[in-house]
Amino acid sequence: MSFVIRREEIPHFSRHVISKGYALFAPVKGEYRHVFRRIGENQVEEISLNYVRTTMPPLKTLLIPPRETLFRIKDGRIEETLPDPNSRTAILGVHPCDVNAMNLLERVYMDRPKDPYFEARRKNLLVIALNCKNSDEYCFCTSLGTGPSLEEGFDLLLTDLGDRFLLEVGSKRGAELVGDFYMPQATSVDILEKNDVIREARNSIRRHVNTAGLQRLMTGALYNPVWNELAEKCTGCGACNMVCPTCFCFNVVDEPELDTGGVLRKRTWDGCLLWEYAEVALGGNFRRDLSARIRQFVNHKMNYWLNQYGSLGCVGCGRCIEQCPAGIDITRVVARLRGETP
Amino acid sequence: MLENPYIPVFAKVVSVRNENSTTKTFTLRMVNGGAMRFRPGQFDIVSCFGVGESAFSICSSPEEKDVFENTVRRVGRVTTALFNTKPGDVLGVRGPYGKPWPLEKAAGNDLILIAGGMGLAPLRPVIHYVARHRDLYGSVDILYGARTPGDMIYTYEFDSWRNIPNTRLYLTVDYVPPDVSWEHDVGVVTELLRYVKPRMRYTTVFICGPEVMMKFASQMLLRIGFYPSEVYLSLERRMKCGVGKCGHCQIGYKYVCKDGPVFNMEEIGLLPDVIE
Repeated sequence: MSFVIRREEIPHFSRHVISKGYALFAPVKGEYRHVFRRIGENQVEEISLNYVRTTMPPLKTLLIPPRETLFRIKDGRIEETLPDPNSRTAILGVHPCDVNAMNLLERVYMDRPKDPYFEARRKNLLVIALNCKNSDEYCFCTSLGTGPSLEEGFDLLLTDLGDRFLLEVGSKRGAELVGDFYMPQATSVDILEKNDVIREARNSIRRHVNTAGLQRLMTGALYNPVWNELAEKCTGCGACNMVCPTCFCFNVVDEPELDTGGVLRKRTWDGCLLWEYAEVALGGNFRRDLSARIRQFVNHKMNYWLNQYGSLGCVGCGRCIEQCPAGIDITRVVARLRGETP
Repeated sequence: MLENPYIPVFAKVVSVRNENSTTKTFTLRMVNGGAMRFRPGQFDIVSCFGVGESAFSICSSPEEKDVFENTVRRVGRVTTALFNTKPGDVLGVRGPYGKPWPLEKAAGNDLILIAGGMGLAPLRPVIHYVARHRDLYGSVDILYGARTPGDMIYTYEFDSWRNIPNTRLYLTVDYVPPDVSWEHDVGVVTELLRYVKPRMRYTTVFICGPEVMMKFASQMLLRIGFYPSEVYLSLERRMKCGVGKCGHCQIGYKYVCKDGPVFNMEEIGLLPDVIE
């Protein structure tokens, strides 16, 4: 089932989503670039669907918040602090690479034993995705089959046709949401136009990574001098980990709650590029050298994920390349290991 | 309600035993009356609320259902907080986690247990299990090394281990302080292998200790003719969840918490970052 929604109706539609009881998140123009924000009923006009990439991955940030309380312990009792099972969240305007990254996070967090915090949030999340119309020099989703268009994993899917959007329904929940929102049905002309948009977006992508035989290549290159060379440039800041939509590692800390006398056990995002990540007692550290930490990051995405979860762990969103202060480029690392570039 | 793998259950400290100046063994009992049903080689994660969690080998006899034990060396914040607990104090416990030593697979074989320092902790349940099921295994050789005689743990059980039929305990230390008497070996634990005449293809080796010690021990075993598939190591890594989510314990594509901590040498032979 597909519909057509005029561009100027997006705020009205967003208000409709909010009126159905969803907390709505959508991209707005931030000070420097687009950011995903909670949208109140009076802010729907601010929604801006004309963006290529946000710095932070929106779905990971929603489903696994950077800081999250696991439970509170107070007066000898443990209070579970699970997300409200009745809350409903909708995210509007997420690109295919980010939706595919969420599908990868599901493999980690829904693997048994399931992570109940992720599960509760995922169950209550309605995904209104947005196919890509534009790309930039960092995008390489086409190499990984994760964009620029989406085939599954959405409730509703928008494609920007200029003056209007094609809106495709991907789930029962999505159908329910649009059931009482009047939109004309799409025609074959709209579908053909969508195909043109996707084709153009696909052709605009200039960055590629060759994934043929990648696992064998990476495993064979574990002791390649490239890792040492990269360590000369890398600062170990972990920005790549923080902006990666599939990086799922977390640290766990106890925090005293000064007003109640209780303790909160929290988890916070962690990253394998950080020195402390593999540190153990008595000063031991299994990845003391930056070269080992870079190798871990690249191999986890491009090699180990396949054994662990059945697909590569990269969606080609380009964030790690864009944000690296040292200019390290995961696609170029692979190309160097292939001997394709110096 | 959803099952929550991060929430510990309460366990009460029943007693605390001094092993040496930096190491204590805590005997714990579940507050809810439940049991820690574990197999030798598995670990648990102990919470000191307000300080944090750490993973420890469960080191008591697996047959003991009522209480269980963790041997803890004071090395950081959580272990220091644990050291300050007294009988009656309540801690949080999760587990057991991980893959145990392959005691079923090794049945009928001789066993060589090689431990360095604190590495004796996950092997102690093996020794207790073998003592209880003595006819399941052939000869048992326990090789244990520590820095000094005073660094050894479970010394009060050594005599009873020596009294297990067809079982020998060999001890070595790196260094004997001047005022200490020591009638055993001095040197690295791998040198104790010269006392053992393994029946090749009928012997299984379990090793736990500092990673560098495991590296030398396993290399020597391969040199004298063991197959990698006959040698098992118990690895240590930073762990935050114990259930394959937090990512910290990964070695290559393996998670130490759920694919290990006990690994066959064959499994880990080609993985990176194994030995520091």
